[in-house]
Amino acid sequence: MSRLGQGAAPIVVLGLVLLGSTYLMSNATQDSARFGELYSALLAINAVALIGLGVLIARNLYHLLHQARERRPGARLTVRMVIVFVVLSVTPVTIVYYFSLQFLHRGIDSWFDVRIERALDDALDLSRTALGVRMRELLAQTARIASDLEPLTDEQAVGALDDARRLSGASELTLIGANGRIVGSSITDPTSVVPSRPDDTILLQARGAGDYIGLDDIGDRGLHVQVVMSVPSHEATGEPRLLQALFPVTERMDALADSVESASAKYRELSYLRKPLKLSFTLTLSIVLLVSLFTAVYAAFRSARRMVAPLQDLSEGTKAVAGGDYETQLPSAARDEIGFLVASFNEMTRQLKRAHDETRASQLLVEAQRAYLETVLRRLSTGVLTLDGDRRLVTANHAATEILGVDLDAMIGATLDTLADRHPDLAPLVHNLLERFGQGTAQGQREGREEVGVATPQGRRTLVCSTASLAGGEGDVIVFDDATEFIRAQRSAAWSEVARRLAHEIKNPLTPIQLAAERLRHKYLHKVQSIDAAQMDRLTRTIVQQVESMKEMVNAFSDYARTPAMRQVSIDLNALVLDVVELYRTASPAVRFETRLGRPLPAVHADPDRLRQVLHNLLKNAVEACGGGEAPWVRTQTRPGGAHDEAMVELSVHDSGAGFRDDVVDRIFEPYVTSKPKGTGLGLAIAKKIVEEHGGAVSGRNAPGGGARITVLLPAANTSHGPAPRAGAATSVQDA
Amino acid sequence: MVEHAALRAAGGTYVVDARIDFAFSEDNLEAMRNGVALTVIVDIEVRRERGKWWDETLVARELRYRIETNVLTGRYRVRNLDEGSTRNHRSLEEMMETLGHLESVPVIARERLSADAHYAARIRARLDIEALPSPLRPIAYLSPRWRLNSGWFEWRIER
Repeated sequence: MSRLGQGAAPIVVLGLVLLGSTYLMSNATQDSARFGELYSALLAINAVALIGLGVLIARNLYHLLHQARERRPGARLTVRMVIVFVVLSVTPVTIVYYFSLQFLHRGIDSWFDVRIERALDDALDLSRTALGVRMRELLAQTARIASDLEPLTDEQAVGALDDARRLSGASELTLIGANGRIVGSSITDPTSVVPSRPDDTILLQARGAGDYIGLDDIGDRGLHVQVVMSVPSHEATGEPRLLQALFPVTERMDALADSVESASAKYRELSYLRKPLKLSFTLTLSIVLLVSLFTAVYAAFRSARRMVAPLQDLSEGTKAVAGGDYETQLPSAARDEIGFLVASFNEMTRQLKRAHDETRASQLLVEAQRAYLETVLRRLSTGVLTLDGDRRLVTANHAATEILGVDLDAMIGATLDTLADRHPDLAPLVHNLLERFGQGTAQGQREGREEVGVATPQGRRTLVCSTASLAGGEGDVIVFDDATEFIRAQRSAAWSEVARRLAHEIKNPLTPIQLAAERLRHKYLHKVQSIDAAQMDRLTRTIVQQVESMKEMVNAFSDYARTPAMRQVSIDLNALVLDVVELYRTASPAVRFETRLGRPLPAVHADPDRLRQVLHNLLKNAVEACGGGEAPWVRTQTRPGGAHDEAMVELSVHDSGAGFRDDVVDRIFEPYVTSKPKGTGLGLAIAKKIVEEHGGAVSGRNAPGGGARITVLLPAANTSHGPAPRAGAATSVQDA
Repeated sequence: MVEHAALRAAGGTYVVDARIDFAFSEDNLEAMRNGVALTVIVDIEVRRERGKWWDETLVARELRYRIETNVLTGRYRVRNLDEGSTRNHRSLEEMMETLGHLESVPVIARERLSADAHYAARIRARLDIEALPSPLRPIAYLSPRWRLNSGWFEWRIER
């Protein structure tokens, strides 16, 4: 609305100016006095309006060309429309202008005719001739008066003037003295008392060259014939006087002469003004033409822009929508086809926005669900892998990476075979899985749980693994739990129970057996014969010795089953290692003891006596394991260790022995599992029990260069104090 | 061109005497001979000088004369448009002589000029283009041959 108001005002003003100009033009031909006065002002106003319009157009043109050069949407269409409008308006106006000008010039020229001009000149001549005849008569008459006055003195002449005037029909007779002074006069007009005095030039002419006769306007009294001639002096030597006679032209003649004169003058003026008139008409017409042209051009600009504006909006709106801005709403245009287009566009963007919002909402929902699932999967201690139809890894959760000890995120997209190639440790698992997948494609056949042993950098692990086809059949999901610790704990608990029962059941009869054997020996040894005595002595000794050893064994069992209260303090593991290793060095000089102690090493939080036992057990095991070989050695190593954020201390004992047998390597920490000819088989089991009581972990495997290697991880003093760390941490500790 | 101008006291009034040379161009005379009446204006002003300020115009007189020719008699007629009087001249020179001779044109009463102020008078003559027939006006405005203006002739009034 404001745009309309803004645009309309100058156009209305210009229209009025235009109207005024045309009005002026139509009136200018009539040479009306009112418009004659306004002419210059109107011309100036038109010129100013023209300049104003010119500036407006120039500005519009500049903007338009600028926009067209920048390839703004709609600019080219505007240019085209402006050109069409301008051509449509300029062409007819120019044609009309040309013909108007032709008509105007011819019209003006047709006013003037040589014959009329000649007729007017002839009329003028005729007037002059008619007047000339009369003038000659009057000259003769004046000459008569002059001759009458000649003999008279000045005084007499003055007296005779009145009569002479009456007789001659002059309106005024004046006698002028030699000195130029008026001697006397006679005037018809009673109102006029002062006689009119001829000009000096006339006087000079009359005195010298001769009589003067002329036609003149005398004041307001109309056309007169003026005669001035010299009157010789009555004295022979006197200077001649001058007589001026004014004869009125007859009223009829005066009117006719006046009419001829004014008509002739008017015609002359018009004739003279013909060129300026043409010029000024041309000027006026040109200004009117230019004003109307400029107005038309300006209107063309405005209307083109107004027509293109909604299209421009549409173009920009479409671009915005294409760019993803669905909020775009265009200002509603007029109720025409373009307006309908704009309304349709607005409706379209509204629907697009609605659809987009819905899509977005569902996308957010999906994302939220996905995030929820991811969180659940991440927090799950169960490893979850998903495969696509080609058995390529699609997802792997954190627990899977932890359990398998392989960076599965780097393997996303790889097939199971690639995985097995890259990580040979995982080959049993992969083969197991492939076997399962190969069993059949039917969903029911694939699902099931199975235990699979996998070698990981942290030792052998037992995974309980199950697979299932994904919904839609495209891919599989593999879920596995690390059952190692669970199985170990189960076994450990079973053994503890066995040990406790055995100790209890066996220990009870042992003391009576021993006592009985001792009493038998004490009471009957000196009573029996020498040969028998010797035998009895040997037998009872054997019984007592065997019972003693049995007791020891039972005590060891009960030690294994027992869980005494722990007394944990901060310990420098390096000092403890050096202390214990030193004992063994003295006891077994054949073995070379090597210590590689990491410094600085965090203190560990442990019961020193029990930790010492762990060291004893491990070193004893190692010394026994490498006892038979050549140049036996035992290497004890400490270093800060642990994975993730857990500060741990790692202790490992490596020997030069034959290593664990393959059939026992999984169960070396179980009681009575041993590869040595002698030993209770409880050393490693007890060591493991103690380490686990401290919240640590122990693992054992055959080192790549040969020999067995037991690794103990203990929590550093400033982190975990409790014997039972978090479940996740426990897993990681065991992995490490 | 104003050749000479002076203010003198005549009775209770200051009057101006001036000699002006009306340098009509050939175009002007041509138009006049063809029946176009010319109007000349003589402007006379008396101003009080005020130093830094604009001078105060005390009086501004405008004398208007209309000059035309009579085709029949061949006379040049000068009409004083202020008084309404006319005078005929037989020749152009005579008319110019009379027209250019201003004598005793009353301008301002003596008592309006105070003794303790400085006054200046100025005079100029020009052709009134607006009095020309309208077709001639655009040309007259644009052509220097029609824009006749003597410019101000200014002088201090000495008392």
